[in-house]
Amino acid sequence: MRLLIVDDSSIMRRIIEKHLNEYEIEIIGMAADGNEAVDLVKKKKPDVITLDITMPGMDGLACLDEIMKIHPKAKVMIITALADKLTGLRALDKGARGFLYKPVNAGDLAKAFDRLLKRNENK
Amino acid sequence: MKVLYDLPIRIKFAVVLVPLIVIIIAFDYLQIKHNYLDYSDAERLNEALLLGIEINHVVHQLQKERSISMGFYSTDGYDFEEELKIQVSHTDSTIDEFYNELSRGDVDGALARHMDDIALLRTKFGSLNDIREKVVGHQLDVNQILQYYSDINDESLNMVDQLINETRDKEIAQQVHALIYFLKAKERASIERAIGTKAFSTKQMDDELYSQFAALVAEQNSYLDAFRVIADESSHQAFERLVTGHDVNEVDRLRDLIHLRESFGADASYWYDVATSKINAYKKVENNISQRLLTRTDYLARTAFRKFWTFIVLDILIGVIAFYLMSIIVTNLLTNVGILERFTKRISKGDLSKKVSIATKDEIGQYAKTFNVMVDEINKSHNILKKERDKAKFLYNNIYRVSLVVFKNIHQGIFLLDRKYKMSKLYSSAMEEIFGSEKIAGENFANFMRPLIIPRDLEALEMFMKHLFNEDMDEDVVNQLNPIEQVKIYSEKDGVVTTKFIRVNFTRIWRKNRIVNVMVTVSDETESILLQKHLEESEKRKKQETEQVLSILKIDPSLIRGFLYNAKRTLRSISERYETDKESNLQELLNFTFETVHSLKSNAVVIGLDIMSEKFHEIENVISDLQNRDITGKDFLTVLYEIDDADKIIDDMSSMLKKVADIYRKYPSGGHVVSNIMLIDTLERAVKTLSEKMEKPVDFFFKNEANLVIPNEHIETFKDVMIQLIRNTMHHGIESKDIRVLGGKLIRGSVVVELDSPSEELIKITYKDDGRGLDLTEIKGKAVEHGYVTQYEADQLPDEEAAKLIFKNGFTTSDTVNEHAGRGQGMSAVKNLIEGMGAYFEMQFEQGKYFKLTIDLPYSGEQNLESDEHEVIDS
Repeated sequence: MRLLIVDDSSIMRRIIEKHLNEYEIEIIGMAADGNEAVDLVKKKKPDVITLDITMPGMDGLACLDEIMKIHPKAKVMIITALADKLTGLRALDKGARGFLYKPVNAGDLAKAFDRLLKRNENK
Repeated sequence: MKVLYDLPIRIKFAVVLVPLIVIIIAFDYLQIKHNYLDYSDAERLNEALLLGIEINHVVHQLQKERSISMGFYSTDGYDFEEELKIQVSHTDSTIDEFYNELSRGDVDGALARHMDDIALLRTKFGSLNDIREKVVGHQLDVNQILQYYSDINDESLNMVDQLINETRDKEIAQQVHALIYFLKAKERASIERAIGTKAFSTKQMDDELYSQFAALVAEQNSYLDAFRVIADESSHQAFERLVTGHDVNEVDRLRDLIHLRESFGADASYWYDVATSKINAYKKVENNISQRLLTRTDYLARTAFRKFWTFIVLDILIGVIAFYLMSIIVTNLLTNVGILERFTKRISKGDLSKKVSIATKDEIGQYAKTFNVMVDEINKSHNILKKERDKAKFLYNNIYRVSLVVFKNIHQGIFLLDRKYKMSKLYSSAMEEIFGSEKIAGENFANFMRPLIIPRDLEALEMFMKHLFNEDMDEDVVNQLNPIEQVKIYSEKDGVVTTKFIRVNFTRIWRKNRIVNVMVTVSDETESILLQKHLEESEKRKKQETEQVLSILKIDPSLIRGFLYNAKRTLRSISERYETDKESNLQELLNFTFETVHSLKSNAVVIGLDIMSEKFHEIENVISDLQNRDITGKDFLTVLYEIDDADKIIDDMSSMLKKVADIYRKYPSGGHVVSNIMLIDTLERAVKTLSEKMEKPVDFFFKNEANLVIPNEHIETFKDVMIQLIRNTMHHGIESKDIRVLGGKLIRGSVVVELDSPSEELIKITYKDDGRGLDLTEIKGKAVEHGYVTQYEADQLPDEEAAKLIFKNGFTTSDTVNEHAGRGQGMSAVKNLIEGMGAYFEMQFEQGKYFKLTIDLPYSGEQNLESDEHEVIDS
């Protein structure tokens, strides 16, 4: 399983990375904003992407649109501090398959990934 | 063959029975016909026999007449003349009897076929008179007479032979033949008599006659032998019994004489008599046989008759019975088959209500029983099925009823959403209560929620439901984004709009791999949320209390006690003034109240009693609202209410303080040290608090802490003075950052309190800040503005005196008001407090550089405050 982490906060990126260390997940890249993320998706075609919504420049939803155009098979999990549910639902509308509120802890992240990947296996 | 198999049973019966009946009737007909033939045969034989007997009688008379005629001729008319005449009349009478008999007989029936012979016989008998005339006229010789009569007799016997020879009964036929043989023998005996009569009449016999005679005797014996062979026992016995005696023997003897042809030593009449006697015996035998035959045929005829009718009657009887039985059986069979047919048809249509009733114990009856058992079994199974169905129905109804009851009584709103987001017809009663609407069933959920929630949440809800029914989307992921998980709704019931907090949860309902419904549960959390708020408030209050306690512990008890005492008295003065001054201007009263409360607030702030400063600020706000409009006594009540509330807090704190004071009383020396240490802490905190609030960074320094030996009775006042000075410094003294930088000062300001080494009489305290000092021009301007001095006086006033203007009551240079300064109560209060302690003070300043106040506090202070303090504690 190849993962791309997209978050403008370096601390957040490190937290996700640290929490997922125990799993058989290969982190193939990290992006701090939407444009960077789109470039990485183009180049590396990750299986799974964690995506922040609030980012400078291209925000998460716009980035999700781009990712789905380039690589529709990617499983995108939204990880956001944004409490607004409408934005979350819009992300699902655009093709996101997972959702997680910040701050994340190891348990929540593991559970969310299990769910995302189990769904994947079933297909 | 298949055609036969496929025929209905009644046609099958017909196919079997009709040919059988036809055959039986045919055989019956033949049998009846046979019986009838037997009967008619016997009848005809009987009739023929009767006629034959008559003919035999005629023959017998003719035989006699022949013999007499021959005797008459042989004696040329001498003998037999008389006899002849008698005989002729005998003959004729028997012929008449024959005709009578013939006329009685059934000419058309039994004798029809013999009519030709009878006619011939009639002709022969009719020719008798010719013969007789010829005999009397001697026109015929003996041979001719013999010939004629024998012809007639032959004819007659042939007739008899033909008449009685037609029987199918062997026994009778045999006896008939016996009779005929016997008749032929008798004829030969009769001819023998005739020839003998001639021979004894003429006493001679030529050869020709003799050979004829010998032949006759031989033929006679042959016929008798034949008769003896075939005749039955009765005929034998009759013959033996009747043909015997003298005359028979004489005939044999005279016959021997004739054989000798030498001497015919006997009279012709004698011969004739014995021969006649013998023939009469023959006649008797003949009659005996005839009579027995007659009896026999009569019996046969009657038997045949009886048999014929018996058969017919029995035949009809049996036929009727057979037909009757057959019709009963066939009808019964066909009826039963019909019943079974109708029954099976009824069963095939599902009607099991009736049983088949067949009374017979044959196979069909057994089938019917079996059918009934089958029907019983079917009915049993049917009943079991029906019971099971009823049970299931009952269970279903029960479950339905239970769910209705649950739905009616559960406090949670429950309903199902379908894939078109329509709300189910069945929903819990709580729904109507929660939403204040009865229009729920079948409504689109988004439309239903539209008037209740904000548009953004509605948009989210529509999107959320779409994802909720998307099988590819994880339920937990979707449910994290439930926009109405906890939402405020505005529901209307009976025209009253109420605000509610509801929690809405969604659970998918799967059938196979498809989400068919989503179960929605709605709970009204208004109460629990309100409770939570209430809890938060009481939590806050608890926190307040804790803070109160902490305040008391942190702040010098004497400071608090003084403050509380002062505050209580001040507040009481407000109430008193309101009571006594009801008629005065309320607005003025309000202003007085405001100034008083503001003063208390400042004091609370500087000693760090946040609870009180916050409370007084609240009262200030209430008064500020009222200041800008016309007020009534009623409005003022709210202020009094607030003041009363503040009074209560003061009482609470006083009682707590008393408890703390008790502790201090137990440890007096410690208490003293604590008081002085806490004084420094209070001042430091006052600076820090004001510094943060006014965004002016200021450091506080307390020098020579060890010299802090202010008597307990002065600590409170001393603190008030210090706090008031700090307040003034923070508000008026310390400049903004930019101005300080321009003035070449450090950005951070400083306040220094310094104690000299205590002397025996007094303590010297120096207060100094590095603010802007006093702006005398500004002070003068404000003093003129407030009307303390005229412009002229101000211009004439020396600097030292101008500076003292700040100690005037109500003086302020501030244009704004807040809880820390600007109310114009500051420096006058300082002056009053210092003087109240019996101390002296000296003010020094340099504009733009510093402000400094030196206080000389004598050790021996007045004790009158002590008693006041007790008063506060006790109150």
